[in-house]
Amino acid sequence: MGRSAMLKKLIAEEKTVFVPGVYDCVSARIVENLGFKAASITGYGLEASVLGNPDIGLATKTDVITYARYICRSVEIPVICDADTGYGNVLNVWEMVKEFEQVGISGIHMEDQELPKKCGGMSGRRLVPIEIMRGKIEAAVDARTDKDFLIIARSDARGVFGVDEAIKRFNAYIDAGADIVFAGEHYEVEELKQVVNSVKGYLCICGGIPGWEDSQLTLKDYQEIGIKMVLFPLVALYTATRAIFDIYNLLKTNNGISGAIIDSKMLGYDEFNELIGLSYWRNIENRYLKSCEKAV
Amino acid sequence: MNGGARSLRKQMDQKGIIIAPGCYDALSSKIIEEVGFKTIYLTGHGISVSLIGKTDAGLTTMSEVVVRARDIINSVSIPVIVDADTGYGNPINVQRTVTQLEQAGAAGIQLEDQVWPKKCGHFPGKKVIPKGEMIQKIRAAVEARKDSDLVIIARTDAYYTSGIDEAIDRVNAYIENGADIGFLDGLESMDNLRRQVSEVKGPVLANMVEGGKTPFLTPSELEKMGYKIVIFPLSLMYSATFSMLECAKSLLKSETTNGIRNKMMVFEEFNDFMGLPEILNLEKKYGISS
Repeated sequence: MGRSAMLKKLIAEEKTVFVPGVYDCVSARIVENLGFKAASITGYGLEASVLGNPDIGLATKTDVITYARYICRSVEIPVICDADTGYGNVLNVWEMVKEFEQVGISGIHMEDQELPKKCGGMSGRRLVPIEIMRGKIEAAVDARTDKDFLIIARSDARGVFGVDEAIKRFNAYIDAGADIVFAGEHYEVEELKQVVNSVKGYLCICGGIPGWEDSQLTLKDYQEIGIKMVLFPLVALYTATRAIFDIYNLLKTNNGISGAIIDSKMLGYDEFNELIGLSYWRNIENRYLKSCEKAV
Repeated sequence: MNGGARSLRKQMDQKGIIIAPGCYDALSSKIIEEVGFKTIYLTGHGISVSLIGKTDAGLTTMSEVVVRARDIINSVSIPVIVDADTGYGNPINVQRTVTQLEQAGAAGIQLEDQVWPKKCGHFPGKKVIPKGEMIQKIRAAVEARKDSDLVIIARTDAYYTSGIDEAIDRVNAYIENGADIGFLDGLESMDNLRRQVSEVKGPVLANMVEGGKTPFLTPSELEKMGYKIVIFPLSLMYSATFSMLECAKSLLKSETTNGIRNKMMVFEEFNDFMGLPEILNLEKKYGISS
């Protein structure tokens, strides 16, 4: 079974699917290693780690496709990717879907902001009219060659226009062919329930966002509310950032890194090599490398 | 310090018109340099066509243009002007575009006031952004460049949407806000071409496209009219396409290229042109046995 079909099956079988966010190959390997059945590439995280910028739409389609390709190669689980606004109009969306399919991505989420976009938690977002976004979704749906490739349509309408407009847009995007709609903003828990009751399709939200209580519930809570999918775009990025801050602060304060700190704060050499697949490559060497090529 | 930008500035300060044929890949840029031109124009239309096999409709990304520009700039030693379309977003995206192209060694950068995704200047259905937004983009570009020699070319597509008066007004505003050269694309008459020179308050560029909307003039004629720079963005691409079609058809039909051999550069001549002798010398120098 292909990865997109695996993802489709997961969505069909589970009441709520947790899809942890990744921003590079290491975070993707960790998600897979822990047994999660899918990962999602965060545009916010890519823009931070690859470009060193906030999430204000400076990453190009090429930037995202390049890193999506590396991340897909590094794991075997299905990977969903943040596709921002689709990088232009329906022509750009068409091209983009084909490229994402080629590099092994199993689904994308695309939002109804004007280009250049901004993070769903930032001010100054502007939306395109519903009709324009419908056209983009229809183009994405028709451009996919694998019918299991997941099209997730995000609306940023809650912050700009309110919950009613968001519901209206979600339903319009489902009508246009989106497989799931994505409320990628801060909602009150009661509002989320209202959205679930008013939207005639699967709903996806963000999990693990600092300050958003609706993002901090348990799997059981989401199952009860009726949320189909939860992406965690910031968790890996913010946790890694905190850990790096902590360890380098220690280095600075202590003028060195002791064995005790290494043992308590860092992964071991073998442990990391195993995570990143050393035994996989050793196995290939052992099978195919001729004895005259082997290092002593 | 950007050698290309310095060299292009010098050409702008000298008398006479700058003639910049269009390249779309490293090979075509080397040909332009080889025959003795002093400036190259990297066409976005050509990048789209040769890189992704699609026409000029805003499908290429800034990253793709930067990679292509870098490869071309590394393969020649004359200044390269890069077509940066709309700058790929708002003024902040424009700044990233300018920074990346400047790092790649661009001597000049051309920005236009179309809505993204853009279209070729001679295609129908173009739309422009408000003048005020484009002014902000020009200011952003000017402030993003590290080397003040980097030439910013401001193109307007407003002739198509609103006529010559609006186009002249826009380009003058772009020049007042720091653009170095003005460019009205898609002009349709000699009268318009003359007005571009007389009413734009700065150096102007003429765009000569074979079969396009604008009267097709020689550099000497344009120089007499007062133009500072002329680009022939698509000439080499159209010519290469014609020749490749001829070759492929001939091979398909006669099962050999013998019939058109006199129109081809062949093995040794081509290798020499691409610098095989220099590579062989380097092999000798560094003890690489061949």
